[in-house]
Amino acid sequence: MKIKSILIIILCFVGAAPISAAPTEVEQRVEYATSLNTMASTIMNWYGSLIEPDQKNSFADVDKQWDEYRSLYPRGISQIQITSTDLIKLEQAHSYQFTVESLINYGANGQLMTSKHREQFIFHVDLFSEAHIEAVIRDTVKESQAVELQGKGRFYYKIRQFSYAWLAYLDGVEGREFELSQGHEPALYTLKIGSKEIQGTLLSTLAERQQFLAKGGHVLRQLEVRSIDEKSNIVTIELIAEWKGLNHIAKPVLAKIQQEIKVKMSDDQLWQIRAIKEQHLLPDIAPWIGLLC
Amino acid sequence: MLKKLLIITFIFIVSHLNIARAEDSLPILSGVGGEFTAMNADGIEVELSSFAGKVLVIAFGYTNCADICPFTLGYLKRLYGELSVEEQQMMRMMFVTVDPEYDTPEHLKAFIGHFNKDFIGLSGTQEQIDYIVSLYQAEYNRLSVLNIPTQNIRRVTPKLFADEKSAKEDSASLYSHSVTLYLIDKEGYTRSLEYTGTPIEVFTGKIRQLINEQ
Repeated sequence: MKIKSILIIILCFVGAAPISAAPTEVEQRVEYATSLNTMASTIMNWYGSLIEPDQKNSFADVDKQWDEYRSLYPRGISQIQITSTDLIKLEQAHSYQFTVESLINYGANGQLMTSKHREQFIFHVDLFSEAHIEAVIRDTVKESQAVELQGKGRFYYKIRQFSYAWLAYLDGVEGREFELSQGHEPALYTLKIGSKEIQGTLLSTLAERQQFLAKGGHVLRQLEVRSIDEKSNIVTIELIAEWKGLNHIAKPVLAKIQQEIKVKMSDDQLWQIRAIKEQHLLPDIAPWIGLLC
Repeated sequence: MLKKLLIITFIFIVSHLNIARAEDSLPILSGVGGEFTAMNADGIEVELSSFAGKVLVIAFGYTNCADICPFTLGYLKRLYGELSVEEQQMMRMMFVTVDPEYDTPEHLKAFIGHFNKDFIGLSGTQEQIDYIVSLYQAEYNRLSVLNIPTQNIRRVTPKLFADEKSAKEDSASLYSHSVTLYLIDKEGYTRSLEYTGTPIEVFTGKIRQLINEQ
């Protein structure tokens, strides 16, 4: 009887306490980061696949329901530059509005043409963090003066599609296929966190990494292609991501993560990760960080 | 059955309260700092873990520094003075030299002593110092390497030379270096990065938060 009374009091307390119902800051961060990364990867696939096909960079098929909408884009697209993005969380649970402004280069009658686009993608992110496009709204399309857009072809979008999908994978999203080996050799993952250095297969290092970065989200801050081996189609990417969350004993952690990733982009939509080197840098928490006197 | 339900409910509440509390505290800055070995002012080898259970503030500099180091140590002295005696016992101020060749433990002790005898000066071999600097992702450069004329820069503790020749050859004893102050918790994790522009009351607040942390 006594236990029953205590239980009722506790349950009343739990019901009254907003903490039990409201997601914690870290839960919000996880949802934000995984949603952002999966949506951004889908967006990169959307735009990359609009560009005239080449031999090396293939993209996943976009759902047929968007064929009609996509047929309205100009033909012969050579480059696309995303000039601005805006992400808004909608009232409906797990729904987002991703507004994208872009410049699209295409050829018409042997001339380079550019058009300006503003589109809104409405996403629903499911329980497995897969991002599904629910609607696309074409806001504006304007013809513009021809602008030279350098380096914004299929490869540019392929690299970004991979990077966002990879960060989502690090945060536990399993939807994407990564091949984590080269033949019989597993991909090597070296991780340096302060005085700790961990080296192992990708999966074993990720498992150890989990104790430092247990629950949180990666947000991409910087991305550069360091080298391309044209023959083997192996690309070395350097990315910098910010991570906020909790470690395995629920202490808050902030990390500025630098990863150098060697990845083979294969034609069959499979990303073969060959090697990863990761180190954690001084986080940019104040403008004077890195100042010397 | 009721007992089990009671235990589960209790664990649920405690874990949620812990997460909420954790989110309010200073985050661990991943990859900044870690275990190291150095020489203290008594010439005894110490490790970071020797100070486990104490909150630490670590600064980098060197005794020949004419500008920021005396200013930083003056700032740390004021900061330390704002803490109660009990709080002072729960924390240590550390000054790691970037010029171990000149800043021997004895020299460091004399220099630090001008500011506060409780402060800890750390020196060591060049390799040890370079390792600590790399762990904290700090930086230092010899001004002579950067082709900055150094002969007219005022020195707080003038370097003494055995002869004139050595004095003339000494073109490498002034440095530029990071000004960051690293706030380390009782377990050795870096929890905040500050500088001499941080208001004293803000910095002492953070030190107290770490002292009182379970």
